[in-house]
Amino acid sequence: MTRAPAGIQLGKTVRPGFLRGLEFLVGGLALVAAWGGVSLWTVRAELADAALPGASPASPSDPAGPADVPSIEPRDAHQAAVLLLAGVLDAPDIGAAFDTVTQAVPSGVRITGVEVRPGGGPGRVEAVIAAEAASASAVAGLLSALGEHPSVLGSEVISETRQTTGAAMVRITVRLDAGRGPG
Amino acid sequence: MPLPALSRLGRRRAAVALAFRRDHLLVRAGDGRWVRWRLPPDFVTASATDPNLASTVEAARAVQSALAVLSSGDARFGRAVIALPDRAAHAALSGAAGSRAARKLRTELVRGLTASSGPESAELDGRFRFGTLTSGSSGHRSLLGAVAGAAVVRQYESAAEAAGLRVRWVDATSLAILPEWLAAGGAREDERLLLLLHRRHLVLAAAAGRRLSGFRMKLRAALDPEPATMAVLGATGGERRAIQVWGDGAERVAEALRSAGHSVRDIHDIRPAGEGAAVSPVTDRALAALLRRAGERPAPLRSTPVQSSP
Repeated sequence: MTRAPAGIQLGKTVRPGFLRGLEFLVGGLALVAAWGGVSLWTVRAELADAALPGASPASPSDPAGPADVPSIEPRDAHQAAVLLLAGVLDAPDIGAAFDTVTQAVPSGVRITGVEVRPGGGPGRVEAVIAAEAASASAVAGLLSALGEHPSVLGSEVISETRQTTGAAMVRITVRLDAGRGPG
Repeated sequence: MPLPALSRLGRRRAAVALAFRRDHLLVRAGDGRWVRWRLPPDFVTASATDPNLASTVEAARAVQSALAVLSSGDARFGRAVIALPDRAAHAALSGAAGSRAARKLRTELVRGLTASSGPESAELDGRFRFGTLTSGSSGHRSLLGAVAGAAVVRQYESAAEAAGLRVRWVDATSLAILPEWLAAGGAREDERLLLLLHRRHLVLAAAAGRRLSGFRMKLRAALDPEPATMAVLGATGGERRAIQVWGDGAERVAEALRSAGHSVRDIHDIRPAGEGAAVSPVTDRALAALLRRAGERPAPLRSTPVQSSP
């Protein structure tokens, strides 16, 4: 029988062991703190008995026993982390469109501006890209890269201004699906 | 002083599989029971770089509520595997394997996401999670790599952890299926294709024997069979191949492929389940595969959910 490949892991495999180790560490620290508290109380009591200078007499009201170490439940720590991480994405369409454009940029092309507006239908977005391309092949490369991108439904050059150096200023309309689909 | 954590050690709690989708959460237990928990519309927006969940706290509450429904009698869950939406990860295939190929692939994938000219490796480690799948025999291997923003993955993990679960495995839904699909291939270099259909995108994987030889993800308009057919025709170059088609609208796509002369041998279309809650066969297989990775032996998914929240 052939063993199946393990597969892609995007999460942290060390998490369970790490948390377990952390629990041991917290438990160990609590024990050390308790032992330290008891030792300190013993030393203070011995010093008081010997009436050495600098020693304060131990009174019954002193909280001299082992410190009451509050336990930190890992679950509470997670809740706190979740509250910190909580956030709302206000403009996913715009963010996704901008991502798509910036992902598709080949060498020889510099994006000078991206304007994003709603496209026809839910999740559809239209982006107008202004770019400086070093050559005609760079423009073709950009169009090709955009066409290959999974979010791009279609693209079209709406204006192209050539310079004597061979560079070109182009404006391209790209129709995108902003990626609201289920995975 | 007894430590609660010590008493828990050694006791292995069952694993559940979680899949967040645009407007619902699917939680599947190893015994085949499942819950579909409704979320606000567009609660999940798949992206490899930006946070996906509208609220991690709300997501955690949904996980807790779904677990409460699934936890009955002795059933207690302590571990989780998570199937991310496909588009929460950015994946690509390299024809070579090994650590150098993996580093190169990681850099290219991250560069694709960030559009930066040359990210430092230290920066990559902090901001992105990277996973690989090597397939094929020695000397003839390929490497599938995927990256996802650390903040993206962390958000899903946080939702599970806040519900008291320990996350064991996180993978993109379609990618989670590939290892077992590859392993099921024959020792011979038979060429085969797997087409995974989602409502708004598709994934096409090609294999030669047990080696992944092609991988492509492409958008499709809702349930439109044409992009899927075109993707297959483009991948095969017109040659006839054995194709497996799973997912939303599989039967229509299979029909189109058969008419193009292909041999479609394995079709699993989405089936409506009870209470209007249907589970995609792609999601179902991905969750089962992830549960197996967590050491479970998942039973087939039951036809109706334990609960489908209103």
